[in-house]
Amino acid sequence: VSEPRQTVFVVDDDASHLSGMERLLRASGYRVECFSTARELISRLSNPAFGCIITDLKMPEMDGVELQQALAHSENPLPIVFLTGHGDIRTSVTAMRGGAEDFLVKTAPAEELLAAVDRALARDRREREDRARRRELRARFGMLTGREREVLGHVLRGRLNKQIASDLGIAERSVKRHRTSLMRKLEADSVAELVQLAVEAELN
Amino acid sequence: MPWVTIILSMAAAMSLTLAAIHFRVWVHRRESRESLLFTVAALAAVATALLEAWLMHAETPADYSERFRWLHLPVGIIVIALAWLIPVYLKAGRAWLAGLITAVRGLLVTINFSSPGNATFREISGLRPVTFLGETLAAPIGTDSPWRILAHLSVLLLVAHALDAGLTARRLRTRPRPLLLSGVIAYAAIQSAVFSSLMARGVLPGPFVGLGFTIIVIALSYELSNDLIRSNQMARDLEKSEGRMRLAAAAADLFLWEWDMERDEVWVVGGDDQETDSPATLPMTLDRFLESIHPDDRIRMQSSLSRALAGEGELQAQYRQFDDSGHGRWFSVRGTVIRDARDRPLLVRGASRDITGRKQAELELEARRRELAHVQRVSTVEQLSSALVHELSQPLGAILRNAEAAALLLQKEPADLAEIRSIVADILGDDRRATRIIDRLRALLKRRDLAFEKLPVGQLLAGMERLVQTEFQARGATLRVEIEPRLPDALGDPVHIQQVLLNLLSNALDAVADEDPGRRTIDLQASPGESGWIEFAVVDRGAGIPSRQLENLFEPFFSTKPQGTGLGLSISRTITEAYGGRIWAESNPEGGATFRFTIRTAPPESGT
Repeated sequence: VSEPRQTVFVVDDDASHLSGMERLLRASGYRVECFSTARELISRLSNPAFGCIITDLKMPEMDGVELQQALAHSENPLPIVFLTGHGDIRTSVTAMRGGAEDFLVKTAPAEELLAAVDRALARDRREREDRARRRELRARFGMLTGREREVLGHVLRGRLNKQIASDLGIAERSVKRHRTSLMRKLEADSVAELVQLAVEAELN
Repeated sequence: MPWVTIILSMAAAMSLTLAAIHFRVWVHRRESRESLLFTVAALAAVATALLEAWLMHAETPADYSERFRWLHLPVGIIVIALAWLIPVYLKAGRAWLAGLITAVRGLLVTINFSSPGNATFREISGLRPVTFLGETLAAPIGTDSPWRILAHLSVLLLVAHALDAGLTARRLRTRPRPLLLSGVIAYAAIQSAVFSSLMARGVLPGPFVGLGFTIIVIALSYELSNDLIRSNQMARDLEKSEGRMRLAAAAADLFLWEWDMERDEVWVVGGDDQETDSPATLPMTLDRFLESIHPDDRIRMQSSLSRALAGEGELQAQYRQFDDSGHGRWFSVRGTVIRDARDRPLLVRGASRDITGRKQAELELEARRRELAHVQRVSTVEQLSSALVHELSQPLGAILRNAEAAALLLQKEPADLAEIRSIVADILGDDRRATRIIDRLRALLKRRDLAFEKLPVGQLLAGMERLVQTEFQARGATLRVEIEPRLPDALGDPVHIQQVLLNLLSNALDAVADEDPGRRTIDLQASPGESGWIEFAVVDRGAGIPSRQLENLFEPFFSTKPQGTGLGLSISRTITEAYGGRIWAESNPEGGATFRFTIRTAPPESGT
């Protein structure tokens, strides 16, 4: 599967800063899309997008933190690098708590900026893979029947087959059969692997 | 005893004395025309009395006729002089009557000298000796001249003129006792007419007009001397009141002056130089006075003077003058223009006051105020510096990104020169932008003298909006600026007015900090206040101000905020009041507070 091309989405209400940013990133070999308001970027992101966001913190109408909050619940939250005129501790704490990749002053040197962008892109890749795997695992768990799911719950709690049979009021043989079936559907070889898959799929 | 000769000589001597006295008066007071007319009348009365005595001693009818002819000349002069003296002295009466009398009497004198005999007798056929008051005198026998009627007419006109003027003067109260003079003139005229006809019937040797005239001269002289006594009294009173005024002026550090525009003389009374008690009036011309004023203040003084002369208010100015030791002293001057009936300025009268002490205190206070304002401005700048630094980071960041991009582009082969060129252009533009921001910061920090400028309100508030824009954004608030159309320009130092606005806006931002974002709208309004003032208002929708705090708000160190210095509003008041305006706070009925202050409007551009 070929890796889709990542894009750096830049938002800044200052046109001159925006175009300087675009030039540097392009010259450094990145694919860039520029937006002068956060709303324009949000409407662009309703289409599939890969990469990261660089946004100015202070902007009229919708500022960087509001953009972060708006994207947090979306299908595809891209990592965000914040830019600010000067270090404002209160705002930067809020932004970092909201999962900001980085928080840079506008006058930071290119190496720092590009390093932050690379980190953000790597995180995007990683998070996207995680999300894909989670989706896949959830699909696997989705194939289980109701009874198999009940049995799985007991297995994950470390119960033995005999105990499960008496708890559910069914024969121990039936428990064994359900167990074999769900192991096959989930592609797990051991109970330990089963537990790990369940954690990865964020069940419970 | 020759009583007739003695009486007439005495009458002549008396008239001559009075003529001499009033001639002297006239020499000193050329504007007193009544003195001149009186002198003429009195001299003519002297001539009349002497000629009459001469007439009555004539030997032959021809002599008598000839002497009579000469007698007509002084009599004519007296009648004419009296005819004009009446309106001049009584300030009443009809000028045309005086003119008519002059014409009739003039005609009579002309006929008198051009016809045979004289204007009274066509021919004197003989003389008849008459014994009168112990003297034997000649009385005429002859035929009347037909022109004699003119003499009677002129006397009748004079009586009518005198009575008319006297009654008018009494009605208008232009003179005390006006009827005394007209009564005496009427009486003397009638007496002369009666004596004249007695002479014509041969009862009297002559008309004895000289006696009647002497009575008039005495009465007139009595009246005129009353005037002299009165004016003497007035002069004494004036001197007393001037002395009192000088004392008051000295006590109040005032000196009084008067500029006679016609003669271009300035008279100064009082002041510090008043050590000797002499009436120290020093005449000087306006130009010399203006020259003595400090050049910086001269134009202001001149323009205030010309405005006052043009009828636009009082003269009012402050100026510096150097005393003999070369020390500058401050004076405050106030004056009024005195105008004639046709509204032309005649003289300017005023008072100047030495305000050097007060001025020094004022300058000191002003310096203090500037210092304080500077301190406060620095703290305002601190508040704003974060916003300004943020603003500065935009162009600086853009310059950095562009330069870095250009460095990368230059490493490529071939380098994209067109792109690099546009990068360089952008860098230059951003550099200029950064410079402008720094200039604004510097202007805020700079300490300087008050600069009064005409400030278009639109520009002022637009600059303000730019200054607070980022701060408002950062705090999630909206600024709405409303300026009423056709608002005149304000007058003041832009930095000061911005400072007051900044204080109020920054307070308003604090006031709405805890409100919902929908209520974080602040209105900045400018509208015409009372005539000559512009009213600025900052309206917030915050929690408002408890009414009992409304009046304390502007006291120094009063603050409702934990981190407030309590100086912002106090300094805003100091600044506003330094401009003569006022600042106050109100609670809004719909919640929140409104702060208002007034700034004077700039005077309209003259000549455009």
